[in-house]
Amino acid sequence: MSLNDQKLITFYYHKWNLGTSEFCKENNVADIGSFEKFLAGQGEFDHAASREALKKFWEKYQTKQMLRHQDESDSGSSDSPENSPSFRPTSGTSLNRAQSTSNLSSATGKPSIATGGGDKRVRSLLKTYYGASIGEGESQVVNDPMNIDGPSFNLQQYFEQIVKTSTLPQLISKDNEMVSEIRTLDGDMKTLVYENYTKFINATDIIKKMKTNVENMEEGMERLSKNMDIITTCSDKINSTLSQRREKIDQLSGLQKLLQKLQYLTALPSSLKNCLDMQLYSQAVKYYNSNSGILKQYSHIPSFHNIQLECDSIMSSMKQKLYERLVSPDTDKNGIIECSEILMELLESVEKVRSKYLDGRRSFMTQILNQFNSRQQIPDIIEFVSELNKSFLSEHIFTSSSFKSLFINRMDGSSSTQEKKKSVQQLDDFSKDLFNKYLSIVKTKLSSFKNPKEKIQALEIIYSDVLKINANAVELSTSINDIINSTVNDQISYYFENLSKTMKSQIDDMNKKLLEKGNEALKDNYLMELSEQTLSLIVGDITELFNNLKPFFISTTTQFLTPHYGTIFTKIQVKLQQFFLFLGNIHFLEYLDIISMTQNKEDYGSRFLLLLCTVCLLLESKGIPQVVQMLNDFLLVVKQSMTPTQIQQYDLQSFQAFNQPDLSKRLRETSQKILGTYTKLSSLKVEKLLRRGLENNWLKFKEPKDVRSVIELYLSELVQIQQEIQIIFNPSSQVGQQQSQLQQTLVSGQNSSTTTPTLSRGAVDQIKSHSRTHSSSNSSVNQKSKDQQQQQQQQQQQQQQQQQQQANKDTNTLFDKKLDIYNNSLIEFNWKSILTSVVKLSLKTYIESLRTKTFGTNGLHQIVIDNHFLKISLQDLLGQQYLQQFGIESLLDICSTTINERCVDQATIDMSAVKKICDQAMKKSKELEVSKKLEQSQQQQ
Amino acid sequence: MFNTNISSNTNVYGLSLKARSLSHVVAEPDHNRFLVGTNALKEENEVCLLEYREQEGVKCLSILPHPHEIWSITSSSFDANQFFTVYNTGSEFKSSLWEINTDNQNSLKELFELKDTQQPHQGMIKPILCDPSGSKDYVVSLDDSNIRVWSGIDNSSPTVLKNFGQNLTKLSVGCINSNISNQLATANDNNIRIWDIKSGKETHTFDKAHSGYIRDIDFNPNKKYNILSAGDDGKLKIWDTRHPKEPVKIFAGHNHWIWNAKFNKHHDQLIITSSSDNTVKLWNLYSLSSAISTSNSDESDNTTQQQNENTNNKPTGKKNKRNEDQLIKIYEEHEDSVYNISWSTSNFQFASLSYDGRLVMNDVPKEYSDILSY
Repeated sequence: MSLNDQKLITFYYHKWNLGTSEFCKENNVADIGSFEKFLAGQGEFDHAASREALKKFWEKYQTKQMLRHQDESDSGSSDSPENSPSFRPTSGTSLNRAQSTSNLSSATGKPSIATGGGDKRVRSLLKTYYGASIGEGESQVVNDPMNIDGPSFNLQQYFEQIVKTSTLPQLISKDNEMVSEIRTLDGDMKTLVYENYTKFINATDIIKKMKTNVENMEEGMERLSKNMDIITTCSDKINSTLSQRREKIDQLSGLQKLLQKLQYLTALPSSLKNCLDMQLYSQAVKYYNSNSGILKQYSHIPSFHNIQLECDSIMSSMKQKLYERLVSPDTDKNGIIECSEILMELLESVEKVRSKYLDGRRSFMTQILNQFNSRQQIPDIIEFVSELNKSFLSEHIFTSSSFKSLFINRMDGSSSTQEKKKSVQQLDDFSKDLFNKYLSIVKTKLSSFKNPKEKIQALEIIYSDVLKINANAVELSTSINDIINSTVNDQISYYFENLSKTMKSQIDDMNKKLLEKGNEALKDNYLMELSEQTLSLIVGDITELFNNLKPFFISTTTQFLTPHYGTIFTKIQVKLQQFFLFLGNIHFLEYLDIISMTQNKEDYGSRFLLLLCTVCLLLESKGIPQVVQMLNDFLLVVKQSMTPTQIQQYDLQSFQAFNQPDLSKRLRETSQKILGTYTKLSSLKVEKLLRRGLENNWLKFKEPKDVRSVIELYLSELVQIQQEIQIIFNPSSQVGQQQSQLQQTLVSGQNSSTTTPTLSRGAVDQIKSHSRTHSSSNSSVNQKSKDQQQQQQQQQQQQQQQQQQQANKDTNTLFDKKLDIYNNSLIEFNWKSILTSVVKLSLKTYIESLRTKTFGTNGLHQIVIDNHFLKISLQDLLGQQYLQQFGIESLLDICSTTINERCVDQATIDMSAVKKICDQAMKKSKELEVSKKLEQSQQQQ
Repeated sequence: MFNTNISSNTNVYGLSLKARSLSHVVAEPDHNRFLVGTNALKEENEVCLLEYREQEGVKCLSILPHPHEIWSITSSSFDANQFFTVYNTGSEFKSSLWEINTDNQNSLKELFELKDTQQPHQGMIKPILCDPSGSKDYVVSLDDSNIRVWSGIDNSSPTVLKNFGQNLTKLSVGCINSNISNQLATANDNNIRIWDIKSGKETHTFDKAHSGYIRDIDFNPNKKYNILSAGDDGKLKIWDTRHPKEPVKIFAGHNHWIWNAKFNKHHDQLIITSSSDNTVKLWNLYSLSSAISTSNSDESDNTTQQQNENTNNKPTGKKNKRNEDQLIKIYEEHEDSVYNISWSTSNFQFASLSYDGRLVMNDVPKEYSDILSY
C-alpha cells in the first residue's frame, strides 16, 4: 500500500461520517466489499476504483473547502469572522464541533433563515460541487441555525448567540479561529481555481491534438472502405463462378454414396447365399434385417423389387432349411437352439417356431423311446431302465430348459403373459405326452419281467430319477404312482394267475395219477395220501407266492414303495380271497361241467370227484388256516420294514379283505356240491344196471330161482363205491358215531391251528381199521353168517308187520322220500350218508322204470326176490337203523307196491321161499367175497 | 289234501287211479278243457273230461270208461270230441281214435284203431301226433322204432301212408313243426332227428343231444328253427335246427328226469317242464323268444309304454329280470312224479298231472303274465 492510499484512507475516516455503503453509492463504487477491504488495507490489487473514489472524495472536499474559503472571505467582509469559524478541515473536530454548535443553536432557539443572498449563492455553488453528500452530511443540522455549515445557518442568531454567551477572550479566540479558517478556505479556493484552469488548458490542448489526428484517420478510413469494396466484388465473382460446379459435385458425391449402397444391395442376395452356404445363418439374418427396410421402401423400382424377391426367396429357403434343421432329429442341441433363435429373429411367429421346435424334439425323443421300445430282448431290466432314463430324461431336461429360455423367459421380454402361459401349457402337454410314452414303455417292459427284485430296483430308479427332474409335478408323481401300482398289481396278478394255472395242473396231475393207478388207487390209503399231497402242493404254491411277494416289502433306500404297502397288502388279500373263491366257486365246479359234458367218462371218473371234494374239504380245514398263518407271518415281515405310524396310517392290522369264515363256508358249499354231483354220477353208474335189468318181457318170465345177477352186480358196484368213499370218509363203521373222522378234524381245525397231527392220527386210524376189516372178514365168516341169520329172522318179523301196514306207509313214505332224495346239502361228509344218497337216487330210477313195465306172476316173484335181496344186502351194508332213518326202506316199499300195481295177476307171494332164495344168494355172495379176498391175499403173498 | 294252497280252491282235481296221460283239448278254443286218461292195470280205466273256469276251478264234465290202461292221450286237432289214446291191452300197445257220444255224455265210441296189418306196432306206441293246422289229412304214430304216417282219417279207414325210420331204436317222442309244413322231429334215445313227412327223409340230426334218454321235444310255435328237448339228464336244451352241433341254451335244475316240456303257444319265452322229482318248473327264455326277434320295435314301444304305466308301483329292476333267461318258479304241489303237463287255452295257465292222479292248474306269476298280456 502506497503512502498515498494511507493518506486517502485516513482522510476518509476523518471526513466521512456515514457508512461505507453510503459512500459507495455516493461515489459510484461498485464493489462495497473490495472497498471495505481497501479501507482495512487488506487488498493488494484491484483497488483502483476505491482509490479513485477516495481521490474524488478528496478532490471534492478540497474544492468545497476552497469554495468555502471564498465564501468566508466574501462573507467575512460583511459578517463577523466569527460567523464561520466552525468549518475547518481539521481532522477529528468537525463532528464534535457540529454537535456542540447544534447544542448551542438548540439552546439559542429558532434560526433565522433570512440571511444574506450572497451567502446562499456561494453555498449552493458549494453544494453543487460537493453534491448531495454535503447536504446529507449537513442534514442532521439542517434546522440548526447555529451550525455554521448547516443550510439553515442564521448568521444573526449565530452572532447574537456567540456574542451573548461568550466572553471576550472567547470571542477573540473565536475570531482568530474564524479568520484562520477563512484564510485556509481562501487558499483552497485559489488552488481549486488554478487546478481547474490548468485542466481546461490541458483539455484545449488535447482537443487541438485530436483535431489533427481525426483528419488523418479520415483518409485511412476512405482507403479501408475502398479495399473492402474490392474484396466484396472479388468474393462475389468467385462465388458466382464456383456455384455451378458445386451443385455438380454435390450431385456426384450423392451419386457415389447411392451407388455404393446399391452395390451392397445388389450383392446382398449373393452374400446371403454365401452366408447360407457357410451356414452363417445369424450373419445372414443381420444382413437381411438391416436391408429389408430399404428394399421395401424402394420396392416400386423393378430392380429393387427383384432384389427383394430374390432375398426373400433366399430367406424363405433359409427358413425352410432352418425349420428342417429344427425338426430333423440329427441336429445337435445347440443347433436347435440356434435355429429357433434365428427363426424368431426373422420375425417368424413364435407359435410356429415353438410348435416346430416341440415337434422336432418330440420326434427326436420318440425316436429314442422307440429305439428302447423296439429292443426285444432285454437282458437286464435295471440296465435298460437306467439307460433309458439316462438318454430320455437328460434329453427331457435339456428340452424343457431350452424351451423355457427360448420361449417362456425370452430375452427381449416381448412375449405377453398370455403367450407365456401358452408356452408353458405347450411344454406341459409336450412333456406329459412324452412321459406317458416313456411310462408306457417302462410299463410294458417291466411287465415282461417277472423277477420282483429287479422290478423293484427298476421302479426305484424310475421313481427317484423322475422325481429329481420335477419334484413338484403332481401329475407326474401320480402317474409314477400309477405305474408303481400297476406294476406291483401286475406282478401280484401274475403270481396269482400262475397260481391258478398251477392249480389246474395240480388237479390234472392228481387226476392223471388217479387214472394211472386205476383200481390200485383203492389200496391202502392212496386216495387220502393223494389228496393230502395235492393240498400240500397247493399250499406250497401259495407259500412260494408269498416268498415271491416278499421283496416288495423289504425296505429300500428311498422307501418309495412304503406309501403303497397298504394298497399292495389289501390287493394281496383280495387276490387271495379271489383265488380261493375261484378255486371253490369256479375251478372245482368247472370239473362238474366238464364231467357232465364229456363223452369219455374215463377222463374224469367219479373217483376224481371224490378226491376233489376231499381236497376242497382239506383246503377248508387245513389249507386256509395255513394260509392265514402265512398272511400273519407276512404281515410281520411287512411291519418290520415300517414305522408304527405308517402301520397305523395304512391300517395293516387286520385282514379286511380276507374273509376266512366266508371262504370256509363257500368251500364247504363247494365240496357239498361236488359230493352231490359225485352221488349223482355214482348212482347213474349203478342205476344203469337196474334199468337194463328191467328190459325184458316180464309177462313171459320163467319162474325165478335165484336173485337176478343184475342185482348182485348192482350191489357189488355199491360195495365198490362204498370202499371208495370209505377210504376218505368215516372209516370206522360204528353206527352211533355219525361224524366222520374228517369232520372231526374239520371241527378241531376250526378251533385250533394244529390240524396236522389230528389229521395224521385220523389217517393212522383209517389204516388200522382198514386192516381190521380185512382180518375180520377173513377169520369170522361163519360167525357173521350166523349173525345175519339172526338178523334175517328179525327182519322177517318186521317185514310181516310192514306188509300189514303197507297201505298206511304208502302215504307216509311219500313224504319221507320227498324230503331228502335230491337235497345235496343233506348229504353229510360220511360214507353212509353218501352211499345212502347214491342208493336212493338209483332206487328212484328203479321205481320209475318199474312203473313203465307190466309184470306177470313170475316177473313179480322175481322182483320181490330181488327187492328182498336188496333189502337185506343194504341192511348188511348200512345197518337196519340207517335204512329206516334215511328213507331207503320206504323207497324199497314203494318198489314193492309198484310191482304189485303193475302186475297183471293177483298173485300171492310165498315170503319164506323168497327168503330162502335170498339167503342162499347171500351166502353165495359172501363166499364169493371171501374167496376173492383169499385170492387177493394169496396174490399179495 | 295237505297243501294249504290246494285246499283253499279247486285248482286241483284228484283222480282215483294212477294217471300218466293228459291232453289239452285244442279244438275247443273257448274253454279250458283237458282230457286225462288213467293208467291202472287192474282197475277199470277211464278218460276224464275236465274243464277249468277262472272262478270255479277244475270240474269234471264227464267220466268216460275206457277199456284198457291209457299210456297217452291226444286230443285231435280237428274235433273237440275226438281223441286218440294209446293203451296197453296187457300184451301189446294199441292206439285208437275215440269220440265222445254226443247223446250220452258218459260213453265213448271207438271210431277206428290205427292198426298196421302189414307191420304191427312194435313195443310201446308213443303219443299220436295230429296235424297242428287242424286238418284231417294225416296223423303220425311212433312205436319203438318206426314212424308211421297215416291217412284216411276222415273216412275212418286209416292206412299207412309212409313208414320210415326202420333202423331206429328207443324212439321216444315226436313233434310236428307248425311253422314248416311236413317237418317232424323225433327223439330216439339221446338223439334228435328231423324228418320230412312227405319224403320220409331225415333232414337234420342232433346226435347225443343229451347224456340220457330224451323224453320230450317241442317246436317253438312262433320260431320255426327252434326246438326244445328234455330228458333223463334233467336238462332242458334249446336247439336251432340250422346249427345242430351245440344247443343254444341249456337250463339245468331238475333233479330227476324231465318227462315233459312245452313252449307256451303265444308267449314262447315261457317254457314249462315236469319231472319225476315231483316238481313243475317254469322257465323264462327271453333271449330266444319271438318277442325279441320278430316285433322288436313294436315290443320295445309297448314295453316302454307299459313300463311307464307301471313305474309307479313297480321297481324298474323287474323289467330287467323279465328279460333274463332264468327259472321263474318251481311248482311243488305234486307228491309223485309229474308225467304230463300242458298249457291251457288261456295264455298263462297250465295243467300238470302226477302219477298219483292229481291234476293241478297253475298260473304264470303275475309279474310275468302282466307284462306279457298287452
